[in-house]
Amino acid sequence: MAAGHQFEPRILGFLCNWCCYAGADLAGVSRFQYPPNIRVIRLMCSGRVDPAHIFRAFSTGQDAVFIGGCHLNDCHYVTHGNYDALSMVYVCKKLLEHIGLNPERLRLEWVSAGEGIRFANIMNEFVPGMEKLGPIGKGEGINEDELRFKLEAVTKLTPYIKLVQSERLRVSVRTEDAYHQFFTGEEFNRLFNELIADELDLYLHVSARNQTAGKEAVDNDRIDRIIGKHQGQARSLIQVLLEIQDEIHWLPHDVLDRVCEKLDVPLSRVMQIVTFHKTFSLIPRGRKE
Amino acid sequence: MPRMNSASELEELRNGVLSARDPDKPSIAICAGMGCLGHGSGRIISAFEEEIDKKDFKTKVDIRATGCHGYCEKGPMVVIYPEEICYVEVTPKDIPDIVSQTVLGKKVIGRLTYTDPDTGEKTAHQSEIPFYKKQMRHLMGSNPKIDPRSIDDYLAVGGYSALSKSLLEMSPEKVLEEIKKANLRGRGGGGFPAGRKWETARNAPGKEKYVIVNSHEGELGAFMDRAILSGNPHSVLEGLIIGAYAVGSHQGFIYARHDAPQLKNNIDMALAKAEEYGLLGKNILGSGFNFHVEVHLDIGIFVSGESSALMRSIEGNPPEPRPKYIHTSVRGIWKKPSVLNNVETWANVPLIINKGSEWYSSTGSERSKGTKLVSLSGNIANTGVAEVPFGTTVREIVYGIGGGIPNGKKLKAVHFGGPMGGSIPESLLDTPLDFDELSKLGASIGAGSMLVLDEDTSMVDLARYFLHFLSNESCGKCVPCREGIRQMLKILTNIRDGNGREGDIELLEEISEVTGAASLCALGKTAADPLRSTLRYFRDEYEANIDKVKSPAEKRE
Repeated sequence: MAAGHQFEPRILGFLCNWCCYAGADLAGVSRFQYPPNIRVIRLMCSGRVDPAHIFRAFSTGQDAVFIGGCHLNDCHYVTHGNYDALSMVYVCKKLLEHIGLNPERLRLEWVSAGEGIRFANIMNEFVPGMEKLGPIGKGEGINEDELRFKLEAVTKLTPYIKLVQSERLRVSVRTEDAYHQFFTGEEFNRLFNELIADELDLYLHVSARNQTAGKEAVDNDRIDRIIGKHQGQARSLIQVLLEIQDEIHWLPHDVLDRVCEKLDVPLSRVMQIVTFHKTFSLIPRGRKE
Repeated sequence: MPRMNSASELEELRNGVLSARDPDKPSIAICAGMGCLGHGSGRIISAFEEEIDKKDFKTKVDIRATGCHGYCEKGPMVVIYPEEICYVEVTPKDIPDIVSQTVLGKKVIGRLTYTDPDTGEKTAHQSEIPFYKKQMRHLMGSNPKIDPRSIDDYLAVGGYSALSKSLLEMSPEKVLEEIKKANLRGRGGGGFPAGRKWETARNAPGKEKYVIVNSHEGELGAFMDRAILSGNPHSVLEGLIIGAYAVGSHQGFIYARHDAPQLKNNIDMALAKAEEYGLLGKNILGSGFNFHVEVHLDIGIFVSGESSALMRSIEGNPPEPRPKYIHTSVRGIWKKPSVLNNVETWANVPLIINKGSEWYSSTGSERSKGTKLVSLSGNIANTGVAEVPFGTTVREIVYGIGGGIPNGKKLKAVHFGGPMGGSIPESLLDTPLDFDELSKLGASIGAGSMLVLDEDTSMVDLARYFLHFLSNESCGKCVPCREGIRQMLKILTNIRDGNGREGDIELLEEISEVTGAASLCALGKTAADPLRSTLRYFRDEYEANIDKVKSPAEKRE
């Protein structure tokens, strides 16, 4: 393979201010050699990383996400945020697996401020591993649209996933062993499948259906006719939306795009109105509405 | 139909319409207002049509689906002209009898007439029914005579004469002066003098001005605006055009709800007809005055009835109110002066112009003139829309017109103005219906909905119900309203469920004061009014609810 075509994985790093970021800094100051594939975002604590950040990173084309925090029980905050990071990563790995991505693309490590060499070693091992996996999606054989669709769905469900996590996936004892035991155990598996996986599959199914239904419902002539009736004026926005809703009983995304374009209003304003009123629906309704 | 270009052409047309009508020709007026439609008047209309068809009387009898007659309790209602025989609670199987006996035989069918529940006396004519007898029906009176889809019917009762009078004989200043002299007050709830509002807009800088009909009517238990607007749309339109002339506006809006298709059809039809006859559009009646009207349908959320929110909605934005340091009559739609009045206010305008301000102000109380439509609902024998002069006592409305409380129950309170109004107890029932008198008692008249409550009603529950409604309808823009209502609702729910604590009432009073003082618009400012008025007159009920939860040990102490 020619050098120019060598695959270079893009890695996004979330490093905690007190330990791992300082460790990475030390690695640099000490001139330890490691591959330059990681771009770093500094956070006050690894516990602040949200699943939404991770899936956002993947959906913008990052091939891997690295999270670095303080060693367990060494957190600089009384809340011990790194335990939160730990359980979050367990759940996210499971989610990645569920949507067909390699869970190794997400990695959590503990690096203290004095362990510059440890940070370099981890990178020296992580980057070649990711090179072998190949670009995100392609490496797993998922096509681009499907990947985007699935990641979008997970991102949408993030609030729900976090709720499940805080309500049902709590580990009462804060030790690494207890966490490991719980998150690799049968109980977690069951809860994940029942509460998260099923919900996600349902969501994927419904949004796939809505997408096709939306594409079918878009009859540009019909919409243009309604808009034309109001002389294509931006102030008739609510009237236009009401009439469209009367005709097709919901407002598919493609239709809204068309309305924005024709009336020359930004999508943000359309969404503001559509989400303000309960009358408008962004999903198809049943026959009786 | 060619456009009319002068007053004489209008009169000619009116005379033409009148002379083409045979006053002795029987006609059947079937109420097709909201209430009667719900009772199945649609089926009755088609049954009449079938029956007439069957007997081949098409040319001899007119059938008219009219707007609301007001007496919703006894719907569907049928009035047979020229004798004005009135039948209540008609069912489709009565139709053959009515046609053969009453329409042709001129005989009254006893079983279908109104029977007084107390005396058992039968009444054959609408105007003699106690519900109607005690009313003064200036606005609603012509509803049974008018098919809302026919402009000829409106012309036949003298419609648009006020328009020609004001456009061709009066200057805008004169019209304004007349309205001010009549002391017409806004019927939407505030009771603000319409004349002053118009004058502000007239004097406001800027060439472009707007006039708007507010027919949002989101108030719970209010249904009189749609009775007028869908039953007699031309009267509102006529008032609007006259108002526009006085203000100097050339563009009007009718703001109505999208979920009433009948209303929309009637308005659209009225606008089209008026335009065709030259009563709307360019150079109205040859006076050189241009005026256009646009219908804006909106989604029924409560706050869209608020003036600045409504205007934002017409601009195509979400209905969120703005602070009103500058009135909407100076800076409204697209920052242009805009006059917003309620349906009922506009409908009063032609009356004043036609009969003069002196005639108008001869009815009513000292500071509130004319008549007021009230919608009666709740624990009352006669549900419906009634029109009474201001100054009528509440007792007269409830007992004289409303027929009192059914099932032998006692009256506990009357609630005015829906979720932003207040209640008055039985002891204050002799208060006259008047904007200021009622506000003084903490029960503002609102748009005119009267909810009658019998002794079984829990006032705590009532206040909680209204707050619950408002917490859903608050637009969420300003914090005092959004959060204040939520907290009050929480405390009230606790009190109702028996989890109230000592000090809750004081806390409620404190929150309601802050919410009222700090909110942006009327929704937040008056959200706590039902709560405050029930606290004022029924405090013991709240206290009893809280005391109930104290443990027996505490009570012994």
